[in-house]
Amino acid sequence: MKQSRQTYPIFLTLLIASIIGLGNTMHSSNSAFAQYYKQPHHIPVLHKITLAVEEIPLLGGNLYAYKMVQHLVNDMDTGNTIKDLTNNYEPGPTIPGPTLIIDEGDVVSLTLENNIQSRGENAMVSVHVHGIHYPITSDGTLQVTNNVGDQGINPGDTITYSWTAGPGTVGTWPYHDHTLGLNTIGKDPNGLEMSGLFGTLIINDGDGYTNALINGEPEIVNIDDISKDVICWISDDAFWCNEAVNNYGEYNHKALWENPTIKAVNNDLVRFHLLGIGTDFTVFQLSGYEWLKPGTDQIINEKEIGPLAVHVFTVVADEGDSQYRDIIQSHFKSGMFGDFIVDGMGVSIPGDQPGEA
Amino acid sequence: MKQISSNIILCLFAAILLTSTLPTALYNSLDSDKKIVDSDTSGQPIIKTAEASEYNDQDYYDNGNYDNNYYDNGNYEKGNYDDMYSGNGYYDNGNYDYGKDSKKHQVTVKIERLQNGQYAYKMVKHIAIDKNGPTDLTDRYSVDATIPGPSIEINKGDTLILKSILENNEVKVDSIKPDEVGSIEYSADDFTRELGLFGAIIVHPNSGTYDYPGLEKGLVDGEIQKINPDDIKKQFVLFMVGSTFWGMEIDENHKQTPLWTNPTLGSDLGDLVQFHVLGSGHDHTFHLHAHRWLDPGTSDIIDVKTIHPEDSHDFIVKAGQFVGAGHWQYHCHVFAHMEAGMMGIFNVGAKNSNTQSVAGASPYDQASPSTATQGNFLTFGITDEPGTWFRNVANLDSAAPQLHLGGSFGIINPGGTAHFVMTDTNTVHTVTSLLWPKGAANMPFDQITGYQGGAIVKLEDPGLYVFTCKVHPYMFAGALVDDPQTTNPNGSPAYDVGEQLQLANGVVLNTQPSTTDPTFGIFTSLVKTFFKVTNIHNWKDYTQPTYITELPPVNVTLGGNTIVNLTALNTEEDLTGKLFDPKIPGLGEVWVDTQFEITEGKSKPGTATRINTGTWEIERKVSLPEINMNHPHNMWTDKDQNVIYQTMWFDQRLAVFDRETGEFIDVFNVGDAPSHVITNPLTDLAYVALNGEQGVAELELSDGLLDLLRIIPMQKSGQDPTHPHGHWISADGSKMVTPNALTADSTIYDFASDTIQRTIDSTTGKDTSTGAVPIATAIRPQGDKYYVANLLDSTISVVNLETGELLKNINLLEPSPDGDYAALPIQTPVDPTGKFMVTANTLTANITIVNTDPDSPNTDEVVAHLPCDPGCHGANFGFKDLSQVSPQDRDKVYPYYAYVASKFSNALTVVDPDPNNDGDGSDAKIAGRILLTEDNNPSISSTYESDDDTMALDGTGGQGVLAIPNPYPGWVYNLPEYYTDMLTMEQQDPLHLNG
Repeated sequence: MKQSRQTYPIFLTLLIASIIGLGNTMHSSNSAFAQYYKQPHHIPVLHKITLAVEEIPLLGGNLYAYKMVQHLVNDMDTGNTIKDLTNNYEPGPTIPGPTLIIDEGDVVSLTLENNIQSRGENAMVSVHVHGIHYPITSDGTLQVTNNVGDQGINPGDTITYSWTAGPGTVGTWPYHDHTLGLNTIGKDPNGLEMSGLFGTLIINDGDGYTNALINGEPEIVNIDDISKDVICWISDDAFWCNEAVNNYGEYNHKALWENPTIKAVNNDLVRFHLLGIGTDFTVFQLSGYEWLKPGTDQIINEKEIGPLAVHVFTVVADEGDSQYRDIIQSHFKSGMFGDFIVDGMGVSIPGDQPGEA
Repeated sequence: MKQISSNIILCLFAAILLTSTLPTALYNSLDSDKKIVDSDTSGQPIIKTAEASEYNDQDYYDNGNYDNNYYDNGNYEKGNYDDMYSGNGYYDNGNYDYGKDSKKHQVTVKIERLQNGQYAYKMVKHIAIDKNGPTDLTDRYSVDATIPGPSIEINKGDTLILKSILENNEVKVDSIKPDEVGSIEYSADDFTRELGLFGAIIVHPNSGTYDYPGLEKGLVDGEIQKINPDDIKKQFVLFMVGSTFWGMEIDENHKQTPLWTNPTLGSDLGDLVQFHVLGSGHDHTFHLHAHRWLDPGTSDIIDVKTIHPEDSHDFIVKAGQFVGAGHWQYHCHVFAHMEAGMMGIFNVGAKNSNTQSVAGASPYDQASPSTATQGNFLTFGITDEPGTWFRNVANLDSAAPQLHLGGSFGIINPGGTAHFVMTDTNTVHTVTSLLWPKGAANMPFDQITGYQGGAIVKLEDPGLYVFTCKVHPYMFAGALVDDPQTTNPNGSPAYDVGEQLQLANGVVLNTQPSTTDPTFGIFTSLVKTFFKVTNIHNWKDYTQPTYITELPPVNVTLGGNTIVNLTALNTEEDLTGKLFDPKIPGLGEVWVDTQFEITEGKSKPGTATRINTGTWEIERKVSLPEINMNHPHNMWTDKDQNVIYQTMWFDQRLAVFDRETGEFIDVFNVGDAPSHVITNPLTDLAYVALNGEQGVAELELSDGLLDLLRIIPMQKSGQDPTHPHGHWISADGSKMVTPNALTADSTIYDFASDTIQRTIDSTTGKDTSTGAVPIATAIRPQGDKYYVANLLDSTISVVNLETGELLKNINLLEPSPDGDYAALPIQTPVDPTGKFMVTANTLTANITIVNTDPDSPNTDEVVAHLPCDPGCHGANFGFKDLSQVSPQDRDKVYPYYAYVASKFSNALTVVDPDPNNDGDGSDAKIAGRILLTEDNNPSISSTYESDDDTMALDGTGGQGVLAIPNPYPGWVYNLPEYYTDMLTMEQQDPLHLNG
């Protein structure tokens, strides 16, 4: 199985490369395999993305969520659209918001729309992103913080942010509303970071590699060998998850909502991205699994994750049932856990979706 | 009570950069392994560490040279240095390697108390000694005591001997020889740590021979690179404490400048800047916008880092690289901390623009001398101490001139700072503006959830500000912001209260004296209540002949430029004859949580007091010193009436003890601020409202052990946390209702379907608020409707139990036919017959009776007001002993008493809601008033059993009330025969379910 996982994509990648006519560009590497394999990652592209903020009506307090409106992959020089990825996403708003997966070197032009209707004219929302490069005009904060201007929008308006996945930005990063947070003192009564307005930006290594723990050993694996990226935000009261299934280099996004049953195919590489949000600190476990502490060869099986901290690891799905959980008592005893089931199909089952009966 | 500890030990917490996930490995605490040896003979504790023993320095300190000669008499320069070392073989024993250029640092810091009551370290002397001799580095440091304390820069492999001179001139000495690059916290080991006694030891790479020049690692130009420390333009030390950053800048020449709270850190584009982020006291996550950096010890690139107490995090960035100049925010990413003001700016200016840092507000900020002696920076420590839960730390000493203002009040000028830090509390709180000058900047100030930390806010506009905790809404902090430009016509100071004050629920209070304006009445009640609550000398003590309340003797300017002295609100009441027993005895016993009573054997307050209602004598006090029971707030019992479940509201624990013997059975950490407990009459499982969190904990008591089965959320995931307080369960065990203190509504939980329903508007079907700060509920035993007491709105909501529809809001502020009104309702039980609701109203210190029978002509209306005591709070029903009433008269006697407890008093009020038993509560009366402590009068002194000795605040803090046997339908059907045999048929079946 492991052998097939490694060879199949090489064949496929070469195939794709030959079809779309990519030349053998730059870069030296340790293996001929990597040299071929990494080629698609070296053509930086422009991602033209439009997100909208939608309300999820709920008795006792609405939730808010980002929705993918459009994701075009454009040629950096000509501006021509190479691919339209929009249909790879869920059509509606999701919590966490759509997972934006780009490569080191890419550029993002992100437009935000505000479709909130129940809060009147002043219901400012924004996108503040971590990790990636952007000028102060794309901070997603209010003027009182950034000294430039309110970088959020009220209902009916739009705003566009410019991001560049420049050197040193590889990693998994949160994006979220940042309309709370006046400088030093006081606060704006808005601020929906806690109410569903958070999502994930994954910037993959330009070389196409990441670390994984394979059969108890730290190894370097190809990102394109990862069969699915599972993203779970750990809030004060639930795991909010979605996943991006690697479909021959494109990602099919699936909302998994609250404490879902996550599934994977036996022996597949699965990359988990865990992010904290809220006020509580959480302690994550995935029963029966060990993984690498990021940026080290150290093997761990538990990780504390504070608000907006990020923890990413890649494991080989091992047949059987295990449990992901937050072992903080008040979290675990109120249901912050779910199954990670490895079977022949690997089709995850979404958890409760807010607003649904 | 709590004294400033004279035992401030200087602790060194060495945060090792190569951290594992185990917290214990995150720091090398030199005292954690009891390595500090207190020497009675020398009076100077020396750390016994492996490092220390290598170069046994014991002689050095023991010979007295250190204190007497070393620094003070100038001997140092005269060769004393050589003398001291010549005899002990320090240089000769091979441990000191000249070749590494290691240094020995002799550093002395002194603890000072600042004008606002905070503490700070001041550098006295820093001598660095190497093979070439000593160098005096003292002029690197601020001449003032600073927060954080002096940042002591040393190199890896150096030895630091850190001497701390305490306030009482006692001296503590610790040493460390760090073998890792990074930062290490030194700090006090008690609450003074969070009040300012923390500082950083910065360990740079060794510039010695082995790896010269010593290099740091950092992410520069997008790559992880080695960096020469000499290329670093600035270092910023940021301590994350409470919900405030305390900053310090170190320039290229190692000269230090304190930057105080939430500073603007100045830097030029492209400059190499090193951050040292440390934590002291609470958990945080540090985030800096648009920069990313190397997580030390890994190759991971991050921009958020968890900072626990004792953690340190050191990283280098090239300011603005790839992102440009700008006001880049840094902040804690814990949401409640963001709301509480924990943020600042990293101001990256243009290249070579020499952008300067701007210090934030400081405890040294000055106020007009006519206003305040403690400066323009109020610091409130948040504690579990009755009365002064928010404690102005300038008032820690009895000699403080501000003491007459009470322990929770302060006066500053506009632009001054209110700063809060949870120094000594076992649970979560909020720091919420309750009252502020209408239109004031930065108001309202609030957080959506209870949390551990602190808060900081600038008070820009003159007037009166009151802060509270929404979880524990009698915790008060007051700040009077006085504009020194305005003066009293007669020349003496009169402080500005403001023309109009806004309450958190939107109500505007006029401060202009008026006999007709009800908002002025509420204003004066609030002022009086503030000074009653926050000054234990203003609590009502029935062992005294009179009850005197005294307000601070200060002039204030009210609306209409009226100047009054607050002492005009002083009162005096004759207490003679106020204590009396009810004529008809009760059946069994009643328990009262005397939550503030201080006992000898524990540091936290609170007892549970049992009164025999047959004799009206105190029988027992349970204080549970073995578990340091903290603020016992509310009780319930099991179906057999054998045990008492006891919540600890300022804590995280539920205790259970034997009702008969008072013996401790078990304790369980259930979650933050467990407020109320009630059992389900069907299952006998215990349900504990987690007032600091978002649900109700379900517990089972089995074989004397408590077990947490689950926590039932009272909101959907992602919704604002409800923070339920005083919940109730229906007589048939099918439903549980919660008052959601922080979301201003109520939740109905259905046990069978495991679903929740929020209160809804009956016409729109949409969710609706019940009122501000709902705090208690009661379900009418018939199960048709339930009631929600909305504390801040002074209303009681009537809700359909089946649908959640809001049927009505009873406005307690509206005068009823008896001409009286009530404000700030708390517990509000409905009697076992479903005919009356008795509500304890804390602001007006009175009790309201509401007819609840749908057949009553004035159903759900207030029909009577009865006097209560300050802090009127808890209420529950218990049986009258009808065997003491002749059989032919029993029909004329209402079969229950309502017992009402008051926080700031030491008596229990006994109410007969319907003396003529006609189903209408308008004739309700006070049946008795029972002292909750021993009487001073030896001739009638009662004795009771107890597990600890009462020290202070005897019998005060009355909150939860529980009568045994439990009279409510549902529970009454499960009583053991022992009890039912004593009951009338009516008492056994008040709803006539059996005909």
